[in-house]
Amino acid sequence: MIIDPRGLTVTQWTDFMTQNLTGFSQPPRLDDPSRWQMWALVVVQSPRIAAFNPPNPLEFADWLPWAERFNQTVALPT
Amino acid sequence: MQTAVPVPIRSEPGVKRDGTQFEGDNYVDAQWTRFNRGLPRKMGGYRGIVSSLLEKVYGINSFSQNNTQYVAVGSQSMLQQVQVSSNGAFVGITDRTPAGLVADPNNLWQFDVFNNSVSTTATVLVAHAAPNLADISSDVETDIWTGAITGAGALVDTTMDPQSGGVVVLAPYCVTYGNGGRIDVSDVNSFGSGTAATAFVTGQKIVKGLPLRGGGSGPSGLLWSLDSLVRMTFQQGLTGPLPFSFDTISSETSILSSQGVIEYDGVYYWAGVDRFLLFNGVVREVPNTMNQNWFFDNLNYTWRQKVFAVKFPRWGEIWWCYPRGNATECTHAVVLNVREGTWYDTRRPGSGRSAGLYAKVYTKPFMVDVELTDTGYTLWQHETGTDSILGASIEPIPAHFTTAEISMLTAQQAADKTMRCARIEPDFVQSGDMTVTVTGRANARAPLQPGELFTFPDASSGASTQVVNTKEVRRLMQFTFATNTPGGNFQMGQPLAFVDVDGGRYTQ
Repeated sequence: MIIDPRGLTVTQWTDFMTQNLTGFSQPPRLDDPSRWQMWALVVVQSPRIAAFNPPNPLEFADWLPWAERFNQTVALPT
Repeated sequence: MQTAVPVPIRSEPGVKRDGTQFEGDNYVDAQWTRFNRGLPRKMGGYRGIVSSLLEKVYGINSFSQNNTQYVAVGSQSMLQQVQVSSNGAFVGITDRTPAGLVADPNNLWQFDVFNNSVSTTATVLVAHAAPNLADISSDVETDIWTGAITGAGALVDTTMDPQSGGVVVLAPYCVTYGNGGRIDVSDVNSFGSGTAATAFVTGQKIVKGLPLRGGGSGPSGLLWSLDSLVRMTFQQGLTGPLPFSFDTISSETSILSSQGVIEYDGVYYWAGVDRFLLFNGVVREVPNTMNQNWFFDNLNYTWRQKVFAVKFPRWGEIWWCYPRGNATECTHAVVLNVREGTWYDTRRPGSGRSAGLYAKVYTKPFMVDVELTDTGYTLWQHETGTDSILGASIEPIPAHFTTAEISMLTAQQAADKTMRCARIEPDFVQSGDMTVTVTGRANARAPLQPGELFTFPDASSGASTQVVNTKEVRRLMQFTFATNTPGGNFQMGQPLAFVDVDGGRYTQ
């Protein structure tokens, strides 16, 4: 299931995604929005996620375009 | 004397009960008032559907079919089913008490809906009653009952093993739970084997389960034990009678009441023993700077299990109804408005309510009274009209709200002066007379001094009824608007107060 990040805060989106990523990745709870890239690195470096060749969060200054790009490239089961 | 200047009579949405009145920008008091678009408005009325429920109700379920709502209500020794037409008319009431039900004044019911056959559409009600009302950790195990959901006969034993917690349907499985973190799972769409599989998934008793979206792999559920939150997820590859995997989301959480959990748009909210929590993928605390202390300091903890959550999605609200002070029934409610992002509270009507339900298909929520009438307890349809209507009796529902304190002390150009309110220009979508009182005090430690009560009608009949002329002087000034007439209703707009600076008296 894709969680559209638009209209959500980064913590809301990562909270929802944590459930979607069950079985693929186990990222920690994101409490400090400024550390979103660390959260994203945990996700993209998980082997089953890395297989999709997800976008590198360090190449994005803002979480929203990264999240949209992530949704475009990573096909979680629906 | 200076010229009076207009000041909007408006505070931040929500009612702040924690802390002092002077330190906040939110409304400081309200009764039967909610917030919509950031502004206060009166809550809806309620109409009695039937007053012949024979016992206090602790557990309610609703199912809709063929323009009829089948409302199951469980009590200490009975399971009754009320049929309500789609326009809210009482159709009938049926006693569906299982023959083997052990009567207990502390019986608390849980319900769900299950499809009991792969070959037909035998939709059944699954019910569980156990003496959990006085003790959330009670280990008394009781049978799981079932019966056609639109039927009229007594429910019968599912033959699943007795449990102490309750029941939830994660279609196509029926899952029961209870002592020692034990869950029992039925066959697919069938009670044919009774308990088909068992697992112990956490240490403490599981008291509540709800379905959860599973991320595409099949049915999933959340299980609340006394100290942890566990997710169960269907796994395609697993063989055997228990095709679920389990993971502990939090082993350091709490739950105040098995009835105090509710889903709202895919997010699960519940009251813990000392804070409000949510699960939206991870467990988080629900921020509450408005009435968290007011709730937990005044809750009658002896009857914690009577706390129940009910939602009103039309207004973005989740209510936690609770027994306050020495009350043994739910006399008050704190309200989380998810849409507005704020909290407020209200006293419950009359003596309170013991159960409530957002009925989904039916547009109106159901609630059950704790007050015994000549014929029995009343099933109410809430959010209906503006008054309390029971048969031929129509009673107004009093509602009011009080603004935060305004003063020159905290104005942009602060001054140690009192304020004189010369005039109020009300602005309300209004039916029935309303009243306004200028109240306030000299300083934050002085007693409140209510001013004169002024009434303004819903339609002005001339210049004298368009505005309210006052001469109230306060150093800290509040405004209380109220309604208490049959048909009375209000939505606040932008009322104005015209104030000027008066003397410098700072005590009274």
